[in-house]
Amino acid sequence: MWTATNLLSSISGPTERGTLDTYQALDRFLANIERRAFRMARLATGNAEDALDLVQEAMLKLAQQYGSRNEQEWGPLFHRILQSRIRDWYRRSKVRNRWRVWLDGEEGEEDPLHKLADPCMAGPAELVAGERAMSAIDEALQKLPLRQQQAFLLRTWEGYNTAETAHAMGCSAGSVKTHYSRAVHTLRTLLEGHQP
Amino acid sequence: MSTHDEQDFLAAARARLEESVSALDAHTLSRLHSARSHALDSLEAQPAWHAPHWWLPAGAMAAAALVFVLGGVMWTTQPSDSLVAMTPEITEIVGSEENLEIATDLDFYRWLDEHTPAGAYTET
Repeated sequence: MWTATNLLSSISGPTERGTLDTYQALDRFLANIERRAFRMARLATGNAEDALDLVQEAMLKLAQQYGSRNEQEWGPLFHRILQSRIRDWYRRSKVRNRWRVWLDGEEGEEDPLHKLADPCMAGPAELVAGERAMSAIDEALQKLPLRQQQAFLLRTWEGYNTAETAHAMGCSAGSVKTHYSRAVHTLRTLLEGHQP
Repeated sequence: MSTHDEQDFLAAARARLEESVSALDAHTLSRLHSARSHALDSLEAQPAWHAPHWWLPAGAMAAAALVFVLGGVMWTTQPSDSLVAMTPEITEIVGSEENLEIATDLDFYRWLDEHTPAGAYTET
């Protein structure tokens, strides 16, 4: 597998040096954003495997098509790609679910392996307090319509302003304001009694 | 809801979300690392030179302009006379099957030359 060390050893000129800079900068950027991106995709899809696939696709497209762009542009571009992929996934899954309900007459069951505890995680005693709040906010976020969820996460978590969020979501600033306002209102209502 | 309450609520939500990413399991972290490496590999595999993003629309515009100009030139230019320039005599010969046979009979022209008095076709 190609690494920055391999790249260092092959430097011979300014072009290669520029490539190394881009490589390292993109590596830092993706390492910084990948966990939040996964959580966003996971909240949207409700499925870890699909979320990982979506994040991988977004990373790949960013590197292939926008790797040469200014580093400052990567954040909004990455989220634009990711949110677009999530919307595509959402549309596909809606169609698939309609067919499944129509053919089988019931929703598909969750893989039982997903219900097993993960041995790598911290023990139950350490997690109980945090988990309640976490699961409450997860549930509340998953109940939001997709666009409200995206607007809330991009604005609150990524810290994007309205224009940046609009660019990432591919909609107008006015729509972002509406989605965000409704999301905050709904979350406050759903989380009443749970301080997140 | 007051602005202060909303800010507190958003800060708390952000803190919970941040906690959630620090508690991701090893399998997920490994997959994310692998996805990142894959993306970086693709960056390295790209050629050094890339056409600027404006080249595609500019190229399309240039091609459309070229087609437009060529079309205009072809539309406005008259067909060349040399291709269809036929005198009435030739037209008459070509139009008549009988005359065409005579016109292509070299023996007839040779006989006509031998039996025509000199100066018979001299214009006056």
